[in-house]
Amino acid sequence: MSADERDEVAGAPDSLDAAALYRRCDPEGLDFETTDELPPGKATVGQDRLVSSVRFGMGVQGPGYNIFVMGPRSTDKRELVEAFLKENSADEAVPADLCYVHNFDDPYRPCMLRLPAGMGVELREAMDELADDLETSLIAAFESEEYQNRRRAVQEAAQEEHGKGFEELQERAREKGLALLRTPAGFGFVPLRDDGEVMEEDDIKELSDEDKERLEKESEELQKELQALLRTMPAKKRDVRDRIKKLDREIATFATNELVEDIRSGFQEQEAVLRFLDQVQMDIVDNVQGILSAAGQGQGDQDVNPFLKMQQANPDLSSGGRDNPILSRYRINLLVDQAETEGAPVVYEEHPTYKNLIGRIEHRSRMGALSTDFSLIRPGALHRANGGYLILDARSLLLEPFAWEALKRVLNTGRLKIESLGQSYSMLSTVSLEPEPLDLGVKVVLVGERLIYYLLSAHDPEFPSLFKVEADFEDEMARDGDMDRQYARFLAELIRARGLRPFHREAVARVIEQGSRLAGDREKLSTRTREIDDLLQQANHWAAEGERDTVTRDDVQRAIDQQVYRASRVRDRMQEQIQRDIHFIDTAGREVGQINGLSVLQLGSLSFGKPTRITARVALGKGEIVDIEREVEMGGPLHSKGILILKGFLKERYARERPLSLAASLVFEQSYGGVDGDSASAAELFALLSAIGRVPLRQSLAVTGSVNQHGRIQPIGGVNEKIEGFFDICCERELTGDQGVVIPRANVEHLMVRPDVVEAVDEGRFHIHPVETVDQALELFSGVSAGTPDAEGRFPAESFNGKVEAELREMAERLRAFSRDGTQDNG
Amino acid sequence: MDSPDAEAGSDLEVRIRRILVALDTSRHSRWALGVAAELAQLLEADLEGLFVEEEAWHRLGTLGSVRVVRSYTGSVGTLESGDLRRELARVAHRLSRQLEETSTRLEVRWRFRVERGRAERVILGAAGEVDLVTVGRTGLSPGRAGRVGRTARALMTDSDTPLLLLHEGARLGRRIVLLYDGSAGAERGLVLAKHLARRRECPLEVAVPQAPGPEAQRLVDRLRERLRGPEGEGAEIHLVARLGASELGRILGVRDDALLVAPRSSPLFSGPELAATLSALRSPLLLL
Repeated sequence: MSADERDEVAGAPDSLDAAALYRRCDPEGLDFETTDELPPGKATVGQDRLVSSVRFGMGVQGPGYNIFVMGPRSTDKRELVEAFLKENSADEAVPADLCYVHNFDDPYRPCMLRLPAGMGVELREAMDELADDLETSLIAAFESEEYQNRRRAVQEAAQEEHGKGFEELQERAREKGLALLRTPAGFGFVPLRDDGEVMEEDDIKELSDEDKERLEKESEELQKELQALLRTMPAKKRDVRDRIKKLDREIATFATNELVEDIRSGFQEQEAVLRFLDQVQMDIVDNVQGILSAAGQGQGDQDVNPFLKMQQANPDLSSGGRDNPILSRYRINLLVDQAETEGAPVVYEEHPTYKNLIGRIEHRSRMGALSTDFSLIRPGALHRANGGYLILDARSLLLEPFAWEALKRVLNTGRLKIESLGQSYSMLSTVSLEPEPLDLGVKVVLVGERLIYYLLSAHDPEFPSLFKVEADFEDEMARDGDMDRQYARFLAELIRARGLRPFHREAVARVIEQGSRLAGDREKLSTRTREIDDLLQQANHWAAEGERDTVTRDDVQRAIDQQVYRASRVRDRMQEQIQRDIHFIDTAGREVGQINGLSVLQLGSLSFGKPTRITARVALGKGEIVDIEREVEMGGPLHSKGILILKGFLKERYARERPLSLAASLVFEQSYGGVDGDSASAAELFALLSAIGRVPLRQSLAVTGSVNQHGRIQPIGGVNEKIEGFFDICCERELTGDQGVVIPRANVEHLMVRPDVVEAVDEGRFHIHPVETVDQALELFSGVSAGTPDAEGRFPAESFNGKVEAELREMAERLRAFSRDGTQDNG
Repeated sequence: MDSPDAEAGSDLEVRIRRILVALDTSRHSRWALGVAAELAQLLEADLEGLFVEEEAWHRLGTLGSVRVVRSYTGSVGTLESGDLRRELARVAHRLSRQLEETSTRLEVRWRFRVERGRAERVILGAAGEVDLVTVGRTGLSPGRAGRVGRTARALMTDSDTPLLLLHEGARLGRRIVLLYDGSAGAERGLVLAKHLARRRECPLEVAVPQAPGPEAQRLVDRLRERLRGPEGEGAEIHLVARLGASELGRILGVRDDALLVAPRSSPLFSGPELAATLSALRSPLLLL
């Protein structure tokens, strides 16, 4: 609108000053040179509600007081919550170390030991040392002269007794003229000559029948004696075995006493450990032969000196028992070591599969067969977080098969039982374990988008009782008072945490301004930390490229520009189409029933505004307004709603005395995608009124805003992008000073437009017009007064509304005449 | 093996090309087979297995019905005509197979034969045809601890063929201990011990049964002379004033991981000392 035209229309609002388009952050207001000077800031700045909720969740006791932290995806919710929990749980008690040990009564049900933090490692090292040293100690004990001599004494006494029995039998046989002979087929008796030699065949032939009969009879009696002697052998052998076993137990007890007592003295307060050590010692004594045989790889039988067997198999005797299955059961499987933990543990499980949550039992393959034992039990995140906090990403958790159900089961029962899925669903028949369940004390913190929280609340009946604390992230925070400085400290913390170069205060100021832009509100700052974080890292990159030690404002601006550039190929192609008049957008002149609307497109990380030509055509009709977008099912429900509101406004203003006698059509020209939202309803109304009143509208302006039934212009989203979208087109065609964008006044406080737009406005080459009513906008677009209705509700004839009113009246008359004529014709 | 010349002191060549192993069904014999095969592999010698059918076994049925008491169960069985012959054939076949398997595993050439007669006589006779005899300490006959079987005793006293005496559980060991008294047997033992130590890459220790004095010094000097050269280098020499069974046991150690090489002429292995020595000895014994 030219100055003359603006003068004609006294009610038209002034365009905004450049200062209203962008809220700067004054670097002078930041009391530091670079971020290095700033003390650490709170990562949860602006998140008071969240902090309060999480604090409540941490403090409140009772089942189900787990926390669901929700917020937009672009917020580093997890990192913030994790940092907050770590900071605030540092004074809480450090939970116990968790160990699994062999169950000597039932190896398939390993037992759990809980030990004060740090003692788990001590016990593991002690038991490893025991297992490593045990073999050597036992070997030394069983190698000792005392043991060897006592063992030999037992064996030789038995052999002596055995041999004596035979010798006596042989002697008796000799006295009776017979010799005891051992053959491969067994023992037998043969007659002897007087010289003591076994009789030759000829000698026997010479024996009398009486002698033969006597010898045979004697032989039978001696056989019975021999049988009796042989029958005592098994019992004697058993006796020898028992005596050697007793000796072994005595030696083994002595050999292990010192080793076990050493450990026992370090765990006097731990009843469970002492019980376990008792069992270990009993097991060693009971299985000493097995331990030594395993070292010798099980050669020979029980009667063979175990030391000899070891020598045969492994002369170096230096394996330390690593592969000895018996010694392995004296070791400790330290599941969770809290030695280095300060306060309550805060665990984040980034891959919350069933196994990673609950733990798993591994198997080892031996000769194709799978086997397992307590040492192959692996902890899950719930074990590691026991006594503290477990953070999980809700989406990831829900995407993992069985994980959500398993977590609920654990939270419901308060007991963590490691069970493989194959076992649960009877899919595997291999030997597995049933480890003693853990009585769990953990608070689970789920982090996810709001939609997930609301869906779970609505559809999972267990969810509300298991996650009673909701902690909602703010997407943005108020930019008032001291907040710029607090935000600067928050940025400084991020910069430090990421190891970036220090940011100069002007760079920080630019980031703060961008924070407002990301919030889409000059009075707010974005808390979408991921985007801010990206910006900081990219600005740091450009500083590095420029070999600067400090990140400058230009680096930040370059980072922003480059972000846009990288993502703007589609936007540029669309603008090119407009420049080449392939996509029709006028930026000068006037047209009836045609206006520039503005829409926002979101493609990947980039949101940008795009002007669209909206046209309206009217004809005589019965008050229908055809939304072509809706007719072809390219318009969404919000858009349809906007059209209906628009119709309500028309009826209220122009059809109080007579019906609307028109048929109008509205369309987004050259729109090949869907349209939704009501932010174009004002533009559609203006195009329609222009078409009805035949009042041309300025094409140098574009408009955004929704309209209500009272003719008030309501705020919309994406105002900055929309302004910049039209500005870019005008800029390409050269700014005339007549061009600008009409926006809802309520959107003024959201303005954070690009510096080049601010500059153009400042120089009067581009204008931003805030409007509150339809009439204000009509005057801006037409240069014609909207008009004020008189006492009878009629607008002045030359006003915009007057022209519309007149046209509608005439259409109504024509329609009535047409209807009357039609009736007469029919009649 | 060439006959040694103790006084000449020249290094003797060791040639053990044929090792005789006396086989029967006793546990000592089974161990003797394993060790003999190991030795044969080490010395690249042939292994000759000999099973002797005792003449007396064939007279079991001479009193009429043939009844035997089985050694494990004590049950009485009747041997029909030909049963013993078949049983002995089975035993011979089994021993032959054991010899074959053991020799094949260790890549040793082998031969097996069965002879009939008095075992000690047959084996004594066979010993004269080979370079080394290996026997178990006792045979099938039951007896008291430390007892030496008839065959072993005959070979110790009536043969000069090197004799390796083994019992159940004995191995060639990881050390070689030589009893060196300057006798001809000790000189032969030294040559063989050096050779074995080199082939087995194990340490050689020499026990000299002499109290310190000029005689001992002369013996040690001669020993050092004999040990000169790569095979004897690093050998450890112990002077032992009073060498008895217990002192020998101490040198060999309770770990029983040594092979004892000794001259037959040593008083430890003859007369009344023999039983005490063997009773104390858990190591394999190579007598020359």
